[in-house]
Amino acid sequence: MQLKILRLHYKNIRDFRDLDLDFTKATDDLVPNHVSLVQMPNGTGKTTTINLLRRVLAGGAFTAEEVRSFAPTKWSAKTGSFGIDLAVDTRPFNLRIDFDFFAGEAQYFNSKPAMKAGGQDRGHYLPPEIEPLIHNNDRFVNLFVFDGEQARKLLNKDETAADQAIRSIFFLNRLALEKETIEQIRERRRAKSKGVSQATSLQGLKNLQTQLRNLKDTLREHREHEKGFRADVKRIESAIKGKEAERDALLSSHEDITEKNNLLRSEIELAEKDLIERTRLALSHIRKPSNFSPSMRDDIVSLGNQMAILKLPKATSAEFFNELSERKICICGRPIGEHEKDSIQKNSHEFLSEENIGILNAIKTHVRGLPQYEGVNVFLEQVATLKQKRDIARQKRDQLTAKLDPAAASRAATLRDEISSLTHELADKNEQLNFLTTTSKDLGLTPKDNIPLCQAKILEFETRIAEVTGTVRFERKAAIVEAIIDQTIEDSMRLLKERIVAKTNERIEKFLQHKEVSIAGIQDSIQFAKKGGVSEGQTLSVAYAFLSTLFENSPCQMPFVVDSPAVSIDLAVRREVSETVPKMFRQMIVFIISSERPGFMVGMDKQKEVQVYTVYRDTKPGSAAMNVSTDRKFFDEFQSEDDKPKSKGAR
Amino acid sequence: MQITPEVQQAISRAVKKNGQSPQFELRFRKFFENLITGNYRHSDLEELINAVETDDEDDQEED
Repeated sequence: MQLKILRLHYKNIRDFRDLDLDFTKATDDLVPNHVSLVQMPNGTGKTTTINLLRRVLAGGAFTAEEVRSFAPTKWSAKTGSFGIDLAVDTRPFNLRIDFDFFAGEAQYFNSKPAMKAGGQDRGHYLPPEIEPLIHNNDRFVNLFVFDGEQARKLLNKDETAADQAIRSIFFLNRLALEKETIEQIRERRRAKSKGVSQATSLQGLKNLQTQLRNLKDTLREHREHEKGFRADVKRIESAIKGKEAERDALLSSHEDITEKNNLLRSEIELAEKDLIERTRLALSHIRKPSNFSPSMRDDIVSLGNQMAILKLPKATSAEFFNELSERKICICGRPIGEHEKDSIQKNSHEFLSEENIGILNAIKTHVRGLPQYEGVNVFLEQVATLKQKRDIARQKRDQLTAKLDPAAASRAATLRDEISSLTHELADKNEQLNFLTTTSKDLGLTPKDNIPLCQAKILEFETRIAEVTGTVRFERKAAIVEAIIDQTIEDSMRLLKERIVAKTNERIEKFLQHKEVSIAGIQDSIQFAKKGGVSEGQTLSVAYAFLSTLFENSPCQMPFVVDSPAVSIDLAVRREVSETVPKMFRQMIVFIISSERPGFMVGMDKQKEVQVYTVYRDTKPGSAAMNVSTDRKFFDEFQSEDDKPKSKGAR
Repeated sequence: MQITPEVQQAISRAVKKNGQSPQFELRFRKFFENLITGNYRHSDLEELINAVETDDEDDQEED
């Protein structure tokens, strides 16, 4: 994948009124020349161009002061723009920054590769292949939009540019960023897990597992008890049935009491059935205070009426009234004008109260829905009547035994007592079984007394444990991925640095044609093997050798834009640099001043595709803007008065 | 897009050192390639983490 710079567009930027620099071949507007040599006099916008190129590629905000620094000084303009046409392989796109010098604001525009000509979106966009490499990555952009300052940074032991360059170009810093994402995922999962359980640690998980085991033991005991109770109930019911059958048999021995006994038994059974039903109804009415008496109901209704207005909790509902007052139409459908808005805001406090008002609201809602008084006495009287009816029937039944012979009467009395005792025992066992198995929430039971509650608690703990287990396991796995990332980066850096040092030294030898300068290694910066100082030219040559080695194996082929590459290099090295460096890049854009040409052009002339540009100031009266010439003769003869050595007057 | 040989070598070592399988190494390399090419989805990292194999996994499941 190759990124290409095709054209630059200036409009009202410093000394550029309206200028395009087209780096493409005459035969193909998507293919740039291998080398574009842009000659610009000092002070006409070389540094501005380099800075704008970096900004337009990396994106990022401008200060008002920065924006105004790009305004023309020789004429007045409220707005300006700097644009760049690019291509990723054969897909063109462009980026533009529009400047509002008056407001001190800048706005990015882009056209995506898929868009038709002319389509522009607001914002900074880069195709996905280069976005992670370039977007907001000034350090990386500075590596291929290069100048002497960046070269010095690569070799300054107080800087980390060389180390960072390797991390950037091989995406190791991008990989390192994933550790931050891991931390974010971890935090999110912890927060989610805390919704279920406070315990997110290994110790917390162990505590939960211990509690779950205890609950399961309790449930097991409950099941044993339930089984025992059910067996007891069955045994007692059977015993009662047997004894009742024996008593019935005794009573049946006398024909005259058999029929009476059967009638009374049916009467007792019916009364008991009714008694259970009526008792249940009476209990449900007793639970409602308003049914205690008519006066109590009146008191409750009176209390509800005194709580005049249904209020809302202030902390959560004040904003509701604010938002309502800002709407054009009320929730009732009527328009809200200024008068209504004021009224809503002014009167809202009457409907707002402190947070605990929610409890009072609940009481009021309940009181409003209170049914008519239903006296509980009626139910209690019915229960009493039924109980009396049953007891009388029992007494009558017992009296039937008086007609039996003494031995049978004695046996019948014994059976009656035993049945009574067993009935009490049965009621007791049923009550215990009911406590153990009921799903009613009104009895104040806990998981220690009740099977459904114990099962619910177990389910809750299992859910919590599943959540915490997932979190704990995720933490372990995330730590392993973090370790792999750390070790990959560390090992990669060591291996890459070894190769880059060897390869860079080969290239330095090639540039400088001798072995007096070489690099010993790369820590944060490039470490020279040679003791003592190095010249500016040697610094630049080492930097080019380092960068070309770096880009050689980069996942993405970048254009190389360089400002004043030869200004501080002696003539012999200039020739070598200008002959060798372009071979290392697919596209090279070189900004030079006229005094750099000697020596530099010797190497350049050996390149296959070199297009020259001379950007010069228009000398026509009344015009101070820059023009561009692509004429080679003009390029070779151009001598700016601002550049050194001093101009000979020719241009 | 290819990962540089040095980085591939480093990934391989780091994956082995942390007790992960060759399948995980492939997965990690694919993840890194997606980072480089911009084909990265937000769920990729979480999926990579979940693909890590841990010794205690079976014990935990039994609990």
